[in-house]
Amino acid sequence: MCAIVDKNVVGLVFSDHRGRSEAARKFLEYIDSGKLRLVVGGRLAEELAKSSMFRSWLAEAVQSGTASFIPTQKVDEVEQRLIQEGKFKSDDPHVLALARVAGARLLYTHDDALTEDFKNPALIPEPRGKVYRTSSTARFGKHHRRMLDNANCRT
Amino acid sequence: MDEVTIEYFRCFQERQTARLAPLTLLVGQNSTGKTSLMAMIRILWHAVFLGDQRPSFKDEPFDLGSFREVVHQSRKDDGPDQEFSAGIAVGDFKSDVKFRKGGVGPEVRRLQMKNAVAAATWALSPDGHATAEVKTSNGSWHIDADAPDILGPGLTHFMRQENWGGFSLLSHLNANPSPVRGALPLTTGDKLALQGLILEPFFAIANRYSEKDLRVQPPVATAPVRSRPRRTHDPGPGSLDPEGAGVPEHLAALSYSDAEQWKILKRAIESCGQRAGVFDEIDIRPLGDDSSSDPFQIQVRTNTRDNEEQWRNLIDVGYGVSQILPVILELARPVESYMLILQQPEVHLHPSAQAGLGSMLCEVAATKRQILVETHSDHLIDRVRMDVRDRVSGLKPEDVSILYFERETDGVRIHNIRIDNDGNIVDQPPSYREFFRQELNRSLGI
Repeated sequence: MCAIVDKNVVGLVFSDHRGRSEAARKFLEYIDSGKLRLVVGGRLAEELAKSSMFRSWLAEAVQSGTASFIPTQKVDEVEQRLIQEGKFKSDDPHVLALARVAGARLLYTHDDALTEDFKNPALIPEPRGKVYRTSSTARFGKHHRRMLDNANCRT
Repeated sequence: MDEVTIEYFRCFQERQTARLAPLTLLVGQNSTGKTSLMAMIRILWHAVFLGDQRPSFKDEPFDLGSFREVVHQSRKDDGPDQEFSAGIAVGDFKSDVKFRKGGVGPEVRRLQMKNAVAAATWALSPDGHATAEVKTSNGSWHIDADAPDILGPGLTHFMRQENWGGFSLLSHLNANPSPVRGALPLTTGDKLALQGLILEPFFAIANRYSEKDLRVQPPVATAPVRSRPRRTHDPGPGSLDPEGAGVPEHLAALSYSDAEQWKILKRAIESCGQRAGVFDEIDIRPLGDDSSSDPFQIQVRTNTRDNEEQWRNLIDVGYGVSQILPVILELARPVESYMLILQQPEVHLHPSAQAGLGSMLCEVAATKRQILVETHSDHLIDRVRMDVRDRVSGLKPEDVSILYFERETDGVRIHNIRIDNDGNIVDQPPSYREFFRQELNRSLGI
């Protein structure tokens, strides 16, 4: 099961536990337990790596197999195709490209335009993409758990 | 070897199979059976390929103790029926060996070998009565040691306890065209099928490593317990042991007796030393005029970019360099055994040298020999992952197997973990590196 964390929530998930919401904590628990695999690659890797806490976490997660690196070249090629097709509304074709290359169908983001793109079957084909959205105070609910339990991944 | 299977052996209770690849990395906590598995691979080599009915369970560097220490604790109350089993697979060839107590240590009580077209079983009853059966698609032939006239001296030889292995069977089949009275005679096709059964693993190994001859030398094993380095050495035969004690004498003897071979080996050792980042050059320095009797020193030097360092005694350049020399020699010298077993070769090495060692292992495993490495080094494993991803050595993802040993309530479970094309870890259980993740999360406060 593969998931992507967008840059606008990386600080929520990979933060001091005192400031982390229940939903963000559960998301990290799913990854740490091995039920969910985080995929990282392309430009998104550079964006996420600005968080030092994420960088430290990722180094161990790759060794543990709870996170996977997707080669930048593979992601960039798909991103270029998406740009040529021009069907997306967000400014995150690299995130969509990463999802397509890695087979990730769960995205943790608070970006409205990216949410719409990720759910668009013309951009993220079957299985459909799902977006894990919470506010910083959101509690972890049934629909969140179902989403994490049913995330899909091809890697 | 492609697989090893074990059951009721040491800390392993249920039957389980470990995938072996050209480079196999054994990881897990202390006392989870990594060394036991490596020892069993060498024991099986002796039992299946070399026909030892009582392969040693105490050969250095693996001393597994007496039968009671070797059989799984759940079998210790089974009286004379206590047994454990193990087997190896190479290509289409599969073997299964049952061990029971014989004297102090374990002995082979039954050996089964099979491939797609033939099978052979040798068994020894508790009263020492040996039987054998060979099988092809045309039928099966039972062979009884109590009736040697039926079978002829060749097969009796095959069944004698001290020399009963597959090669003897092959000799017998060649020497005895009509082995079994009252049964269908073995046809040429049957004999070829049985010969193929026995030779298949050797051909598979030879093909894999492009060897011209079939090598049956047992695996070479080295352990992290090394002999204390010395400043000077006396010339000697230099027999190599698992602790690397004879390495200096071995190198010196070669340099004195065969300058051409020494030049080749020296170059290979230096190449390995450079990759591991521990030295650039190595040489033997006699301390007198008579190289056959005068002491000598092993000297190394590192050529830095701006400053060429002087030659220094091996003992003066840090413990790690002298400790890694036996491993480097084993990786650099001409192959005598196609399988190399290394226990924690990273001991005393700086992380950069551990990573360099990982690259060396990839290179050797890609071309020369199968390597099994017990390691606790993240740096070594990371370098292997990256070299596979970047196609540095030609080692492909399927050429690497990570065996993770996890302690459970009733014993130890071996998890077969793979590396994918992108160098990512796949098929790992949730517990894999759990300790490290917990420690990191605690450290980061997440």
